[in-house]
Amino acid sequence: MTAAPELLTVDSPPAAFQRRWRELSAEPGGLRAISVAITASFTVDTLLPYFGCLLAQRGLLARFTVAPFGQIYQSLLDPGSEVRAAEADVTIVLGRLEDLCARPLADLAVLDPARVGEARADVLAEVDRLCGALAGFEAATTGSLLVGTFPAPPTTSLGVLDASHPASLVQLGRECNVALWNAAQKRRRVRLIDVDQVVASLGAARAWDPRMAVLAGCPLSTSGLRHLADQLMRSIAALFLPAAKVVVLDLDNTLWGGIVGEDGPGGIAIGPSGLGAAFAAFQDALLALRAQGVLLAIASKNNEADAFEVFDHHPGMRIRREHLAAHRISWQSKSESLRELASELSLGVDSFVFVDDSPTECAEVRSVLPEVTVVQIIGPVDCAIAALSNLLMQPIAPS
Amino acid sequence: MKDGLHERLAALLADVCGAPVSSLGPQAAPGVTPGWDSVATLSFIAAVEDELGIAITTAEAMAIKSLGDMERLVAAKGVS
Repeated sequence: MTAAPELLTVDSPPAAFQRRWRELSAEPGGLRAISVAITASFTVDTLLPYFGCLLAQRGLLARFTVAPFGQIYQSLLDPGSEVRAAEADVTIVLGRLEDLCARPLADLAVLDPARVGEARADVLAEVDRLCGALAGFEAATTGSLLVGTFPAPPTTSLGVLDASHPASLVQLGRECNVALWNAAQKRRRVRLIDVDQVVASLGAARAWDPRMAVLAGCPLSTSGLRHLADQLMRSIAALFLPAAKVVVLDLDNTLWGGIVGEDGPGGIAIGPSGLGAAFAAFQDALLALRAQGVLLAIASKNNEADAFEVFDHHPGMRIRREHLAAHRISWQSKSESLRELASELSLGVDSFVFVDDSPTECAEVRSVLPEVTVVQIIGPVDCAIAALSNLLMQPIAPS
Repeated sequence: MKDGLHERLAALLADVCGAPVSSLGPQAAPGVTPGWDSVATLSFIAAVEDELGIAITTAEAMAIKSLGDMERLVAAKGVS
């Protein structure tokens, strides 16, 4: 077995990305090329190594065209701009209100009551103008548009008072994002990438780095850049890669707490309270996936009768027998069960996501069926929900 | 030990800019040393902070014009 290169994640050090990006630039290998154009109100050169490496791990080699910062309108509307000329598969637009609406925001900061209303209107008008430019770009081109939401300001001069003040910058940012969302509803090829949410989940203190703004013209920290790159990668993967079709689940300590063969159907944790509630929430998340068209299947080492006693009669279960597209509940290896499920469902195992709490089972599937996406549930089951929410946006990479 | 510090910093810099460690003397500088661009500068600062457990301010970061500058800055923060 040849050693696979270390998997880069949002937690990998910047230097590891730099190194990988140099290697990829020198020797792209057999990756599928896609063209990606970026226009932003700030400098995004520092984003590219992270973004490029994460895409490469999904089998996509990005050829980037980057507009000079602060030229969003020219990039989108001038037929002679680099971005328009690139005719890219995906064009990414990243703006910050601080850059796009510096003057009205400065007016808001001084809290002149006579100017608050006007300044707010100016900011919203600027967002309208941006939405118009997006529509113009969409009409003139054939690729997809990925548009960042506006991140909340890292700090506000009003502090805690900002929340309820008429000049609230945070609230104004929300209104701008609603306007962006409304515009995106009307445009088939415009998708939003929730930069505001990326910053919020990471925490403003970690996502921003004022030094970067000074040194590189990009206000995001290296950590913020890695998380933004990760979300961008997921959005692009969703556009270009086939989605997962089947989630194959283990049972004991995956779908419920405890081991039904030892604890009995009455002794497992699944239901409205305590640990059982965490597993119930996980099952609800799986049912939401099912509602979106993903098939649910079971691969478990158990007695089939014990397992179906739980599915058919346990009052705390959310997932019932009728929700399952197929099952293998026996003592054979998980990889064998997955092969049989694939054959029964007439699908390739490369469209399978396998979820199990056992490191041994996960390793067995990874080694025998490397084309299966394996999600190992670690520790408390709420981690599984997080893993699953990622799964939703995580199409399967070509092997 | 000054030599030890230089080696550690040169190794971090080599990692981000892709130049061989042996080519990175105190005069190594952004725009001159191959691979040391603005992206590498930021990654270098992040790597030094993580590795040595220090914080570098904006003004200090802006004053770093060579590997030697970084060495002197880090030494002034009590790292040896």
